[in-house]
Amino acid sequence: MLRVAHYINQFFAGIGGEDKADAPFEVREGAVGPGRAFAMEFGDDAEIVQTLVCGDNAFHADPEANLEAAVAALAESKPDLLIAGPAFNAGRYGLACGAIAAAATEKLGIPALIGLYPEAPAVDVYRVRTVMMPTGDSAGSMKDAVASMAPMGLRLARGEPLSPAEEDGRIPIGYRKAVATEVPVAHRAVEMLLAKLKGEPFESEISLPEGAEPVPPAPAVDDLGEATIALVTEGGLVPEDNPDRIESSSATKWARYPIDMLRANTDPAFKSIHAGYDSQWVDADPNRMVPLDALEALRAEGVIGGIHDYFYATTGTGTTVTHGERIGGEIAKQLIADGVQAVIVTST
Amino acid sequence: MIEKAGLPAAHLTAMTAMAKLAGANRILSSGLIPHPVGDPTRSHDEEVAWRKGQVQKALNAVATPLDEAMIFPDW
Repeated sequence: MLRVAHYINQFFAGIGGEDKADAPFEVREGAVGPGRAFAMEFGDDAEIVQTLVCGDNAFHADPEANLEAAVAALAESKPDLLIAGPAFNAGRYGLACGAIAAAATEKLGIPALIGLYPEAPAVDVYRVRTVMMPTGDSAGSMKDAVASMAPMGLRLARGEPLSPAEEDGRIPIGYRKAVATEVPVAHRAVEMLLAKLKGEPFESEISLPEGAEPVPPAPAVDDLGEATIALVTEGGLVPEDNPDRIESSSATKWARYPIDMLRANTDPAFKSIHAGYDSQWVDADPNRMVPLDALEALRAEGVIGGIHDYFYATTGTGTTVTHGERIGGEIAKQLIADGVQAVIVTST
Repeated sequence: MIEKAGLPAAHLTAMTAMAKLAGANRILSSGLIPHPVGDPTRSHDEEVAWRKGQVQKALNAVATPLDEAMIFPDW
């Protein structure tokens, strides 16, 4: 029977949600949470021998130490495969899965598999370093994720070679493997060109990455002492009644609020409606997300010319790239219309 | 998108790699995930002083001409 190790976060381990995101790295014997679903799917072919657990914030607070602990645990249990997640569209969890999967393969030669939503942030960071199966964007698709990951995992555990990503139903690793073909490349290219000219369907042999296009840097501010600075955040900081109904995840909206209102921070007080981090510290002092007190002190010293009358907020968790780009573009347009010269953005 | 529109934007975050991936240009490592410009382990006055320092670094970043995206060293 093949032996499988599994990595999950504090939520899937049943420790708790954001309030337990500081849960330290630990190793448990056997299957935990989604590991039980994998065990069912594996049947007699494989067993989960070990589950590695770490809180989402705890992992990123000291990734090196946590990776070291994970590698040490795996070196001892010597599994045939490491499965991480599935982490769906999660940011921190997905990145932790990627880091641990990559370390297992690179440091110990253990094949590894992650389940991720194809638009999840960890996909572009780790796709070249570990095998990934696509999943839905939330834990609601757990059943399907396990059903597609388990057979791929067994193949990896047995040391079977990968087929092209499309055939395997995998997220492409992003490199091309050379294969011998009957038709030389020049002929294929001309056939493609002819098909294109005729308006017929054809399939390119090159796929372009979907990461963010580099943005040419904006020109620097010449004279900070004359500049008006604006504050922008994706941290979900809104008046406590959330008058604009900004979503707590997968945002489609943004809003701006007067900085006078933020300075007063009473009737209404400000709080974060962001569902992707524990907001207790920001709720206690919104300056920890939108640093108005610090900026006002610097204005008083003449370091900057002025502070824009509003700060801008949206929620940056589970937000699609399409909405994110639109929101960013709309905020930028407003800032320029209002004569702002530079921006300080904070994000979780 | 703010930089794309021509305004320099300093991005303070604990997750600098993700900021780079998302296309930010002036990136500064700051704080922890739940409070990028907060440090609840300090006294209030010390925290405000620290935050002022972080904001000063962000201001330096928007005043720095760049050719390409960069994670600023923690001066």
